Order: sequence, then structure tokens, then C-alpha cells
Amino acid sequence: MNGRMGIERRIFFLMLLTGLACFAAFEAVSFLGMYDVQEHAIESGREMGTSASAFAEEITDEQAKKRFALMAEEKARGVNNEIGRLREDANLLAKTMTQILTRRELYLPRELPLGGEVPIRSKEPYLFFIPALRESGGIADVLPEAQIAANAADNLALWTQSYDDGYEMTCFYASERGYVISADVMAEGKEFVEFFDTWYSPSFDPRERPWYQEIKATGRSVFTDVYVGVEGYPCISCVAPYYDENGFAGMAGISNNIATLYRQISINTIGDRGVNFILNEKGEVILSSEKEGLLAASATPKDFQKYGETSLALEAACMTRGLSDVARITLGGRDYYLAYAPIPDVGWSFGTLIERDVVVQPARDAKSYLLSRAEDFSASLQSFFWDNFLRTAALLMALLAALFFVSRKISDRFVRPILALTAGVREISGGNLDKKLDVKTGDEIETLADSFNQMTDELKSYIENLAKTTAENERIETELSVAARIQAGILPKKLPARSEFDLFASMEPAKEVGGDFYDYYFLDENHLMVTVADVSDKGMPAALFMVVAKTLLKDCALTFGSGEKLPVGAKAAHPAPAPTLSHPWLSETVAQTNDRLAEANDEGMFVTVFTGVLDVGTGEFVYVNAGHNPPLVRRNGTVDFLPTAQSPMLGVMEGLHFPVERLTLSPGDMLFLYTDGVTEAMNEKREIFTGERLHAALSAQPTGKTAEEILAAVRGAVDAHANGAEPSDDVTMLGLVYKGI
Amino acid sequence: MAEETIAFQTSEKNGWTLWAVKGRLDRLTAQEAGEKADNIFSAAQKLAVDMSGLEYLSSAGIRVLLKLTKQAKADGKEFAFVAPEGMVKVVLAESRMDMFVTIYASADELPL
Repeated sequence: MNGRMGIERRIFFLMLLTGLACFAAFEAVSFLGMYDVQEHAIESGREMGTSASAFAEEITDEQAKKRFALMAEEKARGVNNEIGRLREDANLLAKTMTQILTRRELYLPRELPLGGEVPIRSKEPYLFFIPALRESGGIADVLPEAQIAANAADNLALWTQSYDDGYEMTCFYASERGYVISADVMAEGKEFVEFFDTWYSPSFDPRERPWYQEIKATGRSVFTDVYVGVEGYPCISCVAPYYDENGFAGMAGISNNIATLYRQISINTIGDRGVNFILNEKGEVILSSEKEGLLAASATPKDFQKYGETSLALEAACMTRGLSDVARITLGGRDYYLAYAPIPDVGWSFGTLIERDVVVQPARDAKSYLLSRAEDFSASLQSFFWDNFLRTAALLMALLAALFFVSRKISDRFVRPILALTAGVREISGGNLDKKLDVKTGDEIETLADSFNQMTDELKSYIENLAKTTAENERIETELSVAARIQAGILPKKLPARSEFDLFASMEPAKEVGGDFYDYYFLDENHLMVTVADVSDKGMPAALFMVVAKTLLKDCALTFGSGEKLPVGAKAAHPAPAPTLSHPWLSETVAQTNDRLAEANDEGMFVTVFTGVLDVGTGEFVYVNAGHNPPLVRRNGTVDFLPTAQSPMLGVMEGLHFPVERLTLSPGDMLFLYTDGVTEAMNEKREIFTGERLHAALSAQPTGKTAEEILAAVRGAVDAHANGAEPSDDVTMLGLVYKGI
Repeated sequence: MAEETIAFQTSEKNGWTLWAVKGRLDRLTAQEAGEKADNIFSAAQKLAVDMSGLEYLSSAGIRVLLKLTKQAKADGKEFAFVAPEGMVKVVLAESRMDMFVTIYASADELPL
């Protein structure tokens, strides 16, 4: 259960952690992104507000300057036209008088009413002698000329008509000789021209006026200073010199109010502090919309070029030089625009002063509006940002909760097959090899389960095989041990000791029983039968075949040879042996045994047999060698192989003849019988012991050794040769030492 | 035990199928040799076992040869041994196999 929880928990936490990490990363990125956007937006908003307002101010500034420049130029032009007309007309008046006085002969004297003596109506030309002339009594001298000059009176009347607009004005000639010819337009409500009290004061002498002196000196028309007329309106006069045949003769002039001009200047100011003004060629304000203060026209005008406020003084200098511009100046700590343009005909300059705040206020309003909007925007953005953050956080929490449950489910589903697998494997390991794991997940778990099933199948078949093999081995073992017991059981017991011979036999079975056997028994008191045989197979079949062969051989021998010497050919089923043989019953015995073995030998087994009978009294030994290894015989101390077999092995074919051979042993002689387990004993190099070595080993045995000792010695030689290699065949030896009676 | 101790080679000579057995014909190789021999024998009318390369012949080997001998007799086929040498020759002599099988000193002596 620990493992199960381990994996499940691990998957669960892995998914949870992955989810968390994703969410956190997403949240962090979006938070940072949103924060950036917010900051950027707020900053941009502020910047935009600031730059937009600055731009607006700048644009406003530019526009204002252009507008003001145009306005100043237009006003200046208007003033110039107005003033220029005055100068033109003054010059025309002067020209007319000059024509009259230079060509007097063309004119008749003309009577004009005398001002101061008769009432003079408005617009009525009149003649007037200045007080000084009257006092000097020089009127008579002057009169003829004055009456000629009076021809210009109609002209004056004409001009007054054209100028009459309801305000006072005067067109006049003031002669060098002290008379004045004038036509006055009186203000409404005044019928007559007033003499001596107001207008023509007793000290009146136009010739003493500065501009009279100026035109006389320069010969050019000139404007007087602006002065306040009777009616309280600003007025200005333009005067021009006229001449007679003798040169300068007086001045012609038009004095007119400039109310229209003044009105224009006064009303078209901009803002509360705006001022329109006209600066004359000396830098003095001669006309202003301001009635009091710095820029008001004053009786004691000041030259602004010398004004303390540097910016104003500089611009005033430019104005008097006839330039035009829109400048920024500071007056009394306030910013102003000063737009000005020249009035060329009189050398004046029109200026308009506008407080800058008035102009740029809309731009400033726009700026503050933009800034407040930017602030609003940033505030709403911030609130949107936090709302969004909270919404995302809420969503995150919800998703986390969902993730928590989904992770649990998925990890549980993922682990379930593993649990099934674990349970199944536990059952299998508990011994139930028939258990089949049924996991259908379609993934590695299923593959693992399939592998387990396959492994279980293989394990099962392996265990079955192992059981089978073990049973087989046990069977073989059993068979071998049975065969070994059979083999051991049929070997003869040790003979009672006899003085005539010494016999010793041994058989060491190989691990798998080889089928060797030896046998000895007395046929009668004097005849000892000895046999060594080797069955061709091994194991149980060999053991059984051996038993049959041994039994048959003994049975036949006892049947044919015991007790008495059997007559030759008696009971013989086969052709008679050769006459040289004295023991035909032995041949018969072997033949019978062969026939019977061959009768039912489907397996093709056979047995090689060396069997013989020793007459212990005479030492005569007759034998049959049926395909067996030739034994060795020691006679007179010399060891020799007996001749090779004359007969084939038994059990192969029926009806064979087995010739008997003979030899005679003397006391001390020895017979050594063996099977191929001796001569073919192998060492690890698969080298066989060979007959030669056996011969040598036997030759090395001194006469007098017992059969047992000799066998032990041979055995030692064989073992020495094998050098520990396990024998593959039974090792069987039989030693027979003949001692005689 | 796993080392190759026996080898076989089949050729034709004088109308005989000459089956050369080389190495050791003993209990360990007897079964293999028997199976090989059966295969060859079933297709041959006249079979001769070439023993010139045979180094060792045990009683188990003799049994294989005897079985072939019996088989030949039963099928009416000709069977012979060719050129046994050394120990093999001795074993054949000692077991009197010559009484059942014709032995030729060389393959050239095989009758046409």
C-alpha cells in the first residue's frame, strides 16, 4: 500500500505542481504585462496631455502672432489712409493758394465777411486779421492781397462740406502777413463761429506755432500734435506751406477730429488689459485706447525708447524705425504680445498690446483638461488592472480546486492498473501460475502485464519440463541402480580355496552399467569353467541381456558338460566339430547359447565371450573365444596374447560354429582375462590404455604373486594411465594362476 | 564432450556408395553415426564404410556396424568395410566381424 500511495501521490503532486507552476507563470507574466501596459498607458497619457497642451500653446502662440500681425498691419493701414487723406487735402489747399497768389492778375478782389465784426455762420468762409495786425494798424496794407486770396474761399467751403460729419473741423489759410481765411464747421447746437473768447484769443498768432516754423523751414507739410478739441475729441491738424512770387507766404491747413480713428483704436482691444496705441516718430504715444496709465496719450508725452522696461523700450525703437513685428514683452511682471506695424505717411507706428494669458488660456485649459482626462484614464486603467488581477486570481483558485480533484482522479485511474498488476503478480508469486493478468490499458502497463503473462507461461512450461526431466533422471537413476544390482547380483561368490589354482576376479562397473560379467564354477570336481564377457550395450538392456547370456551359457555348460565327458556330437544340433577338438561339448555349449541369444534379439545386441574349462589336475585348458579380446597367458615367465578370436560374438546370427582351442598350463603359469574396459581405459587426452601397456604391466609382475595381487597391480597401472578420468566402461579382469597338484 | 569427434563424408566408387567415417566411433558418437548411416543406406544399393580415417572403434561402434550388416542382409544389399587401420583393424579382427562383412584393404578393391 505504501508503494501504491507513493506512486499515486507522486503523480498527483506532479500534476498539481505542474499546474501550479503553469498558473503561477501565466499569472506572473500577465500581471507583469498588465502592469507594464498600465504604467505605460498612464505615462503615455500624461505625456500626451503635456505635449498636446504644449503643442496647443505653441500653435496658439503661432496663430496669435499671425493674427496680431495681420491686425496690426490692417489697423496701421486704416490709420495711414485716414491720416494720408488729411495730408493730401492740406497739400491741395496749399497748392490752390499758391496758384492764386502767384497769378494774382487772373483774380478779382473779393469781399469776405470779417470775423469778429460780423457773425460768421458754420461753414461760412470768413476773413480774420490776427490781433497783432489789428493793433499795428497794418490792415489796409494787407487787405488787397487778402481780397485776392479770398478767391480760395469757395475751395475752403467745398472742403468743409466734404469733411462735415457732425464734428467740429476747420479748413484754413494762415498768411505770413497776418490774415487768416477760414471756414469752420461748428459743433451741433452752435450756429456761429466764436471769436476772441475761445478760438481766436487775443494772443492768437498762428505764425508763432512750432509747425508753422517747421513748414516754413522745410517746405513740407506736417502734422500737429494730437490735441483735445472743443468737444473733447482728439483732434489733429495737417498744415502745408503755400507760396507767392516772393516765396513762402503762409500755411494752409485742415484741423479735424480723429474720433473715428480713436473709436476704432479704443474698441478693438483684446482682453481686459489689451491696449491699442499709436506711437509717433519720436516714440511718444499720441493716441491710445487707454485713458490713464503708461500707454495713455498725455499732454507731457514720454519717449518710450527711453523707457525703463527694456523689452518695451527695444520694441518702441523698432516701431519708430518703421518696422513691423509681433514681440513678446514683459510689463509690470506680465507677459504681453506687442504687435506693431508702421503708418508710413506720417512716420508713426500702430501698436497693439495683448496680454498673453488671454491668448494661451484656451491652450492651458486644454492642457489641464487633457491632464485630468489622462488621470481619469490611468485611474480607470488601474482599477481595471486590479479587477482583472482579482478575477484572474479567483479563476486561478477555481482552476486549482478543479486541478486538485482531476489530479486525484487521474492519478487514481493511472495507478489502478498498477494495483491490479501488483495483485496479480503477488498471486503468481504465491504459486498460482495459471493466473493471467488482465490489464487492458493500451500502454506500457499492458505491455508489462503481457510480459508477465508470457513469463508465467514460460515459467510454467519450464517447471513442467523440469519435473519431466527430474522424473526421467530419477527413472534413469533407478534403472541404473537396478541394473547395477542385477549385475552385482549375478557375479559368482568367491570359490573355496584350492591348492591347484589361485583365481581372482574383479569387476568395477562404470557409472552407467556397461554389461560386463565374469563367471566361474566347477563342472565337476576337476573341471573349472571360467568366463569373461562384454555385452555391447549399457544400462538396463545390457544388464538384462547379460543375465540372459550368463544364464544360457551356464545352463548349456552344465547341461552339456557336467559330470561326465559328453560323447562327441551327442545331442548336438549342429555339424560336428573338427576332429582335432577334444571338447566338442564346449563348442556346442557356445553355439547353443548363441542360437538362443540370436533368436529374439531385435535390438541387435551382442556379447563377446571368452569362456574356457581348466582341468585342474592336468593343466589342460580348452576355450572358445567368441569375438572377445584375446586374453594373455604367462607361461614359463613369458606373457603372450592368445591368438585373436576365431569366432564372432554371440547373439548376432544363429547357426554359427564355434571352434574350441586349447593350451596346457604348467604350474606357475597364469591366464589373464579382461574386457575392453581395461585396454580402452582413457585418460583425459582420450588416449587408451592399449594392449601393449597391459602386456607390459603383466610382464612386470614377478612369478609368485597371487592373482589378487596381479589384478591390483594391473588396476594400478590402468588408474595411473587414466589419471583420474572417469571410466566410461566396466573394468573387468580375471586372473587364474595354475599351481598344479 | 561437445567437441566434434566424428565426421562423415559420402562419395561414389565403382558403383558403391562410399561412406567415410572419420574420428571415433564409440558410445558417444554411435547414435549420430547410426542415424547418418540409416539415411545414406536407404538410398544406396551398395554401401561401403570407408574406415581409413577411423581412429577408434568401441563395442558400441561395432553394434552400429552390426545393425547395418543385418539391415543389408535383410534388404538384400551389398555391404563392405574398406581400409580399416590400426586399432580398428584389431578390434574388427578380435570381434571376428570379418565373418559377417567383407573387408577390403582399399576402395580400389571394391568389385564393380
